Amino acid sequence: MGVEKQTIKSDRIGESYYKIKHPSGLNILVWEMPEFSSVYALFGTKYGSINTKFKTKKDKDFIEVPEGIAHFLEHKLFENEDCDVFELYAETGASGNAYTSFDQTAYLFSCTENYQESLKILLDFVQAPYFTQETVDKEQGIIGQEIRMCEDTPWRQVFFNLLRCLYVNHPVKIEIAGTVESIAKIDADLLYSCYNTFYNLNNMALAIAGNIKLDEVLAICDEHLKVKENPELETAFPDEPEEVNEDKLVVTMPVGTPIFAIGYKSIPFDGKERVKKELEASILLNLICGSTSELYKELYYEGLINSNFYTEVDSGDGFFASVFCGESKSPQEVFNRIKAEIDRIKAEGIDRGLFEIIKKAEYGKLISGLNSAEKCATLMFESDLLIGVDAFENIEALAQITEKDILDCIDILFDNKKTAITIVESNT
Amino acid sequence: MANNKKREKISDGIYITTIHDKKFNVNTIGVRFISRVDEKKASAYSLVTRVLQTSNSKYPTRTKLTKYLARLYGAGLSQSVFRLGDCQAFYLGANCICDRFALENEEITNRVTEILLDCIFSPNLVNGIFNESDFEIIKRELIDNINNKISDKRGYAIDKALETVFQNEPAGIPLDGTVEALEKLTPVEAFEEYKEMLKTSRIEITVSGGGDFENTISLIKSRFDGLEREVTSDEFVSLSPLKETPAEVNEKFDVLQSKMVLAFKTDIKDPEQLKLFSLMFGGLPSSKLFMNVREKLSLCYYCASNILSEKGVMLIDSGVEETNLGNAKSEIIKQLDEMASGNFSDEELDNAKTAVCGSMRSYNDSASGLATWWLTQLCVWNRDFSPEDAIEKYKGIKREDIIQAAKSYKLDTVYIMSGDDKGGAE
Repeated sequence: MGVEKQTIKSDRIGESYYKIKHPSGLNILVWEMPEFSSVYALFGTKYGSINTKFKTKKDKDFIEVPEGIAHFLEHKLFENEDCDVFELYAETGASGNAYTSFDQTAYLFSCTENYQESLKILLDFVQAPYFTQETVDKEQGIIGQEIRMCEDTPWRQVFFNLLRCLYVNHPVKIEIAGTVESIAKIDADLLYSCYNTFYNLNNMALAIAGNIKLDEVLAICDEHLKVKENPELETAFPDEPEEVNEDKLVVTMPVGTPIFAIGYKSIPFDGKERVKKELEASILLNLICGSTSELYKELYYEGLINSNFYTEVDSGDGFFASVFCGESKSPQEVFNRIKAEIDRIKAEGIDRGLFEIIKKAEYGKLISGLNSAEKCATLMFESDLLIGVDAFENIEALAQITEKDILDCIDILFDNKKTAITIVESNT
Repeated sequence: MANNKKREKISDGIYITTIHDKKFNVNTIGVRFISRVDEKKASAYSLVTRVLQTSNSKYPTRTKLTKYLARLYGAGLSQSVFRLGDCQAFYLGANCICDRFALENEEITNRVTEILLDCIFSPNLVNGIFNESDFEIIKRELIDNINNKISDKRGYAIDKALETVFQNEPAGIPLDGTVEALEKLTPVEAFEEYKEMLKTSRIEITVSGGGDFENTISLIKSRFDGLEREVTSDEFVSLSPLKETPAEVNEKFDVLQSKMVLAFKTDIKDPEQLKLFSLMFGGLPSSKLFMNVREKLSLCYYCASNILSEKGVMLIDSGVEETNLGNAKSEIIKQLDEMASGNFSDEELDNAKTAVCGSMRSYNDSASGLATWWLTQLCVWNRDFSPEDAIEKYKGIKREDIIQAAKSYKLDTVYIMSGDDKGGAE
């Protein structure tokens, strides 16, 4: 098969990888790192917990499926008709795993030998579903325990409660694994239906980095990728208002100091604009209350936050939130001070010196993010599959961000009317 | 390639190990103060390393220090405590990107190293002791952290199990000390303990990553060189005695899923033999525990084995529905019996060898992984033993060795966390 090969390069850091548009429809991303011993590969689909409503060209109407089905499918795909995928990896020496997030399901392996054999296993099993009612029933016990474990984890609960507060309709508010009740509705037919819709090579990507050779990877792909008709998938999300659902939610669980999450909801972004806005939000989170900011210092010395305080940006198809998390005896006071600091920055502008420092720190974080085959493969995979950009887009975008960009986006990203706080308090 | 390490003795009980490979983007400089501690010392050393991490005489506040490091492309200082047999290692480290990525040709690694060394040797003092208000804040934070451990129920269950497993042994001292001992600790006492830590600990320094470390190493040596020393040598490998009857600990919390930790003890001192056994038993997705307790019986999402070979302890930890605790426990013990009876295939043994040899080779791709490897080998096991040496040794392990390891493990402690009346499992 003929392939369309492109070299993606960053002159800024002197790194490069290949991007191949395979005739099967699959995007293949290959980063040769000959000085490393290990290999890391990811093969997956743009299908996660938020994709509960979809149609293909064969369907007249949109289909709605139970919460948690993408994750359930991930678990079940590890079983072939005659064996378990882990048994196959055990022979080649690869360490296999998978994960499901809001907007993707990825199957991966890492190894230091026989990568070609392991790559064949990966491509084959992801393209060969095998579900029976019996194996589906059995999996409900295992996933049921995974759900229970998550329900007992306060840091996870405070985060999902925040999403439930911020979002009125968007399915980012549902638990990735679903609930014990929702997964009880899953059967083999539903799994096949979701599989056939989303596990199409046009909706997927393969990323591989480490001690590999491009030609070897492509030869295996030519042989093992099964060309199927493009089902012309359409996903749909319910209309989401710009306002938040609720502005506060408090629950009790066994914890020491109360745990809190504060989120700011923004309109969502796509492509290069999403990459830029994620970086701008990250810089703003640091300007407002990062460890180098005045507010952080005040809250820390007043005993209102501790070193477990952190910030993050969560974004994807139809959602974008900037989040502060931590432990505090007075979460509401922390929230009030953050709101006041945002108002102050809007009125007085940003500290230029601090902006430059934070930009340098962000650059350091991106460089550290290229320190292993795993990190490089994951970056290529997610940039291409989820955002549709090249892996070096973030380093380029960061270099371009100016003080004016930050001032221009603060009203959109940090609106004190589109914010919520959730708290997990001790029940003893 | 794995033997591109250099090791040097700087002074009495102070060693520096360097691992350099230019393929890495980042550098890590780690200093470990290793000592056999009691509850009071564990608390003091843990607090002292936290105090040292947050400031020094040149950058006397946390914010000033953080800002300086952020300007060096987001460099950071970190602190942690871990067990090495009956000793505890109090770690203070710095990490940064390699100088070749600097956008304005600034020097990064040496400046970050100087900061770390200033934190260790030139702390922020007021009237000759730690700044009292900062000290109290950090102390309060450490106490809160200890009290907050219940937020991570899997980790909490393991910690509680280990307290019983190592009853009356130095290894049973909680890693960060105790709330009681911390409450009593004053800045004056802590400063005395700090001087004691510098004087009497074994000090293991590692410098690893993609940088050119010549000057970095000179900097480190010059500061550690004239240090007053009085080191007592410590034996790291000491097997934990088996209890006459297994101890049982039950705790009730408002949880939906129960946690069970089973601890077994052995009298075998061979870390590779124990490791390979543990992988076959519960350390791989193809292991007995994963395939049976999880996949066949659907009892758990996780049920895994881990070993502390310098203490001869194996832990099996799992998250189970309360009504299934009994089934899970009997299945785990049944699988151990299966291993002891030799009911495993040569293929299972070969697969575990392939997996462990793969993970040995992957050490070459992690500078910090290699630093930890060499610390464990040179300090704890007192042997010059590379990941390649380990591969050779793993390849020679026979099925009789696995059976012997399985037979040697005896149940010592059962820890169970389950739901209380407030809700709990359905």
